[in-house]
Amino acid sequence: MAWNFCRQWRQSPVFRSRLIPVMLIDGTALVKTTKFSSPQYVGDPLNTIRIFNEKEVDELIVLDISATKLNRDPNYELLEQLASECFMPLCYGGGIQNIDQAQRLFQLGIEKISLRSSVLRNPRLIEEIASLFGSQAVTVSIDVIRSSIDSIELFDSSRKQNPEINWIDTLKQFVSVGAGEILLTSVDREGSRTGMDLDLIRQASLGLSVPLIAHGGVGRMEDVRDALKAGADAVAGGSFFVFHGKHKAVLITYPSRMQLDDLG
Amino acid sequence: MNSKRVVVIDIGVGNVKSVANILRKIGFSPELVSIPDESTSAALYVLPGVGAFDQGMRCLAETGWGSFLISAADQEVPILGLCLGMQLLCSGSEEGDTPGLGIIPGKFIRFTETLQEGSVQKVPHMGWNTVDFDGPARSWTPENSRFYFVHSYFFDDVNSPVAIGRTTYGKTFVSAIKHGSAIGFQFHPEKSHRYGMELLSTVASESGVSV
Repeated sequence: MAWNFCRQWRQSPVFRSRLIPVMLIDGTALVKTTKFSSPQYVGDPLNTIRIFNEKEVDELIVLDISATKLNRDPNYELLEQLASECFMPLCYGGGIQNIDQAQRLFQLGIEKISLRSSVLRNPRLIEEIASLFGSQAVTVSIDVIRSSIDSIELFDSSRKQNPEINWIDTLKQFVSVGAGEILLTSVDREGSRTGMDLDLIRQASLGLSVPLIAHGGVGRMEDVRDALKAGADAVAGGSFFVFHGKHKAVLITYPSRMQLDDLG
Repeated sequence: MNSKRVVVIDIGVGNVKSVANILRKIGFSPELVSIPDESTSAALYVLPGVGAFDQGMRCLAETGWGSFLISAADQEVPILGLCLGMQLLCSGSEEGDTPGLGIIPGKFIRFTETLQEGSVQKVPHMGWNTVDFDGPARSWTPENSRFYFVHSYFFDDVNSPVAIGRTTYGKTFVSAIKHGSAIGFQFHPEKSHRYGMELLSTVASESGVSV
């Protein structure tokens, strides 16, 4: 009886928050950084996508961490291969500076693009891409860093500077011009697996009309639950899905369907 | 031309590549067609779609696919519309001014951010959700299937005779429809792992697509 009830409950229609692995690409290698630096080699991106496929991950975000730095185009060849193996939604970010690049990415089978560095200088790009492909296809990535306990600043990783602009105002501006989703990364927590910056998530989600993906610090399922309670609509992570144990042994993992359903 | 084939309609508004990828993965040989002509024939036409309603209708009109699909539906050739593709097959949407193809009766309205209880929900409905299929469609997917959704507009008549599947996001809405030989899914089976593969495999096989 109890088992039946439980089963019934699991089958009831339920909208569930997404848990999203972030794969960092450097050249053609999959890497993982800590606080946006010291990239550690993790493996081959195509193999990793195949494993994530088998594990039926909710969605994937692939970010090329060197495209902007080296001022080069997205690696279309690699991305086409990745997209053809990806039977879940795929978001790509890195080196996108104009609408032609965005269009080419959509044609390769990528559902969403993530804009970051380029929109700090040119927020109109969000509007241009959203009006043609819809807001749902445009994720805007915002990186923030705590300069002190109670001061959060925008982090422009390509320039390694904190532009003197209010991060909340920037976030709202991006939404008003058509961002369909915000990927908010806490640079301090990135790669740490020490839990997410819940205060940051609370501040960002307040009055936000589009989904908020919280990123940076997830190390346990409890961290995911806490982030959702704090107001995140989805949680993204890196190390949580690729490293195991304190020595960071590479092990590609993803929670089971039952663990995910328990998150609500 | 092999009339047992599956044609993926490429009017420039869809994630055509993703649909072709998954059809290949499950053993079919999809053909992408941008502009139909007299020789175009298929056992199943798949209309993917992402983007705005009016833009989608404009592309259907410009390519000739709009009138082609209307006459295919008259001849009871199976058509499958996905996400925006489903919406384009129907009568219209609050999102646009252009009428839809009218192959399936029904129109689309926008989700509201404010729920009755005073709580708010994010629009679009973006993420994984379940579909409660009716009648014969119940056997199309395994138990516990879940599908990926991304949409802001939904089929407005929850009691419509064309409804074959329902989903709840704030309220219960119709997420799968069937009328004559035309089927529409609001979700993205092409991005829903093995659940989407099984569903597409069933629809293609029942339409007579050869492997």
